[in-house]
Amino acid sequence: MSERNDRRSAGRADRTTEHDAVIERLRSALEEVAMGAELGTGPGVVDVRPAGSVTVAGRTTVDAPAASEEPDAPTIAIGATASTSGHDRSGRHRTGTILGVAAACAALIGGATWALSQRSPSPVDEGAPAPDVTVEEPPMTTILGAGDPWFTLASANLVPGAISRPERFPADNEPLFQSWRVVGDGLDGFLFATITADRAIERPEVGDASTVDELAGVPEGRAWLVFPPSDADAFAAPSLWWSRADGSLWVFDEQGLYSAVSSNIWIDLVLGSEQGSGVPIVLPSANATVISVGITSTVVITQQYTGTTAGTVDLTVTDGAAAPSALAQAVTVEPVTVADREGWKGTYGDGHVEVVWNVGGGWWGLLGISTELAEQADGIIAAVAPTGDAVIPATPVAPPP
Amino acid sequence: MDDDPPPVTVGSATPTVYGVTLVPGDHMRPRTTDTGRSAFDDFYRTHRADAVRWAIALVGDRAVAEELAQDSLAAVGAKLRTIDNPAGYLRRTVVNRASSWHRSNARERRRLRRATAGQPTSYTSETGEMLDALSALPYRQRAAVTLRYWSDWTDDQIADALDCAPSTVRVLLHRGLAALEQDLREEDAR
Repeated sequence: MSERNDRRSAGRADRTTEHDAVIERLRSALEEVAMGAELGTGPGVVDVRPAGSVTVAGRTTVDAPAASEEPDAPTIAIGATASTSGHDRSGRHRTGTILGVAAACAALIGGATWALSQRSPSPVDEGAPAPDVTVEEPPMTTILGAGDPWFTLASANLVPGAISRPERFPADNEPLFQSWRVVGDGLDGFLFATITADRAIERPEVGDASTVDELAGVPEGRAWLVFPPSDADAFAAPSLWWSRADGSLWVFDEQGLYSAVSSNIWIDLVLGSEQGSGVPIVLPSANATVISVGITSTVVITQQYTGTTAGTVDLTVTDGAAAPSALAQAVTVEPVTVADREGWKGTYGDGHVEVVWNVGGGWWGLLGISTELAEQADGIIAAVAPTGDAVIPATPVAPPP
Repeated sequence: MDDDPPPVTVGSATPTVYGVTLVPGDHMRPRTTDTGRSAFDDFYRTHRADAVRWAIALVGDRAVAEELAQDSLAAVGAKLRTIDNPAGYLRRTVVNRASSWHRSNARERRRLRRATAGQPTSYTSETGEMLDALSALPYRQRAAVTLRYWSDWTDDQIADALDCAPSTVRVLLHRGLAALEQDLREEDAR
């Protein structure tokens, strides 16, 4: 710590005094954020590495060493910080998430450590006889739940990374999400709503350079159009925030519904919506079809694939009803079929692609394809297969540079 | 992804590393040597606290920062024997991963922000305002300002991590501080 303080002092010496106040405020704020963070591996750190093998869907994969076998191995800190950070700035319960991520990290470290020995054998290793190891079937730890749907990307040009499966536990006042496909009467796109009870606001606190315009003549409560910063998105369609008379807050996003010619139609559609009985919101249009309703996710399973030359593909399966909002702000959306299910492919202004498909049973699949791989998006979509039909590439693939 | 460890798939009947199919058996066990394990341990113990602090500066969220730091340490640890400057490599890895997090989580953060509108935070209002102001900065400005003035990186270290010239870092610092100051001044005036 003294070394850190020395470096701080040295750093301060050449600072301009012009911005001293803001710098001190910056440091104070980040110190507050860091307060309680587990910054070492001292007392209170709990080793949560799973003993034995890490298993996915009942299949043995990479061994993770038991803690008792290797006391000096790095540990994952789930101490006071992690547990007390269960309520983070967003007020969401994150304990399950952290534990899930911790398990995934343990698998990652196990894999990385294994790979270290495979890729960079020490001189001591070379020529030495392999140790005589008696293999016993270790206890199983499951990453994927028994009922989790999962997919693989069978592509020789993509290298799979580790799977993570953090869980989260919804709070009592969890927002609801509802999304619609709207086609007809001059509209062709998607509408996404976030509904939060007991959240009346005086003005959207968007905290960035967004522009907030209050709407006049709202049927009840107050409503605003919130435009994102002009340099944040190539296409800057607004969100519509509606603080209702009953104290709830409805926030709408869209894709394809807002334009110079249809902005009023879209706003009329949204402000004509009412609280429903079977679903949270009922739109005043027969052209709107509900495609998802529910809370945000309790499970998000993700795996990142890395392109052998460049780019990444993020494969995600979630039970969250907000999944279709991955299409919000996309410049174009077209229907696609993913693993024999209906889905949509959205292309963004920066070139990256988001794909959403309905897995069934309340689950949604998502593919995030980076700009570098966007031209191969159709092939990547076609390569998505349920795990039962997975095809592992037989040809060795060169590691990324 | 230059900073990623060799990926090990766990979603298939026979695991693969870089697409090479592994046959289940003894060789699937992590055969780390004492030397490799010890080097990784030392590296981990030496750099974990710094990595978490850097990540906090870059993302402003403690839990996310710990995850990013953990991933970055694992990624760099896998290449300890093949890189000349592990600490510099770790700095670049944390900065790159935080940048990826910002890109991929922009939508999620907007959604969270909506969902938590009007909800009291666990931070003081001054800290909340500063975090909001930081989140409004372009990532490179944010990285330059926070890493320089909170993490005490030199301009050269920041330039290396952001892959730009030191003179560019000074421009980023100037613009970032000016934007922060203006944002906070406007916030205070409300």
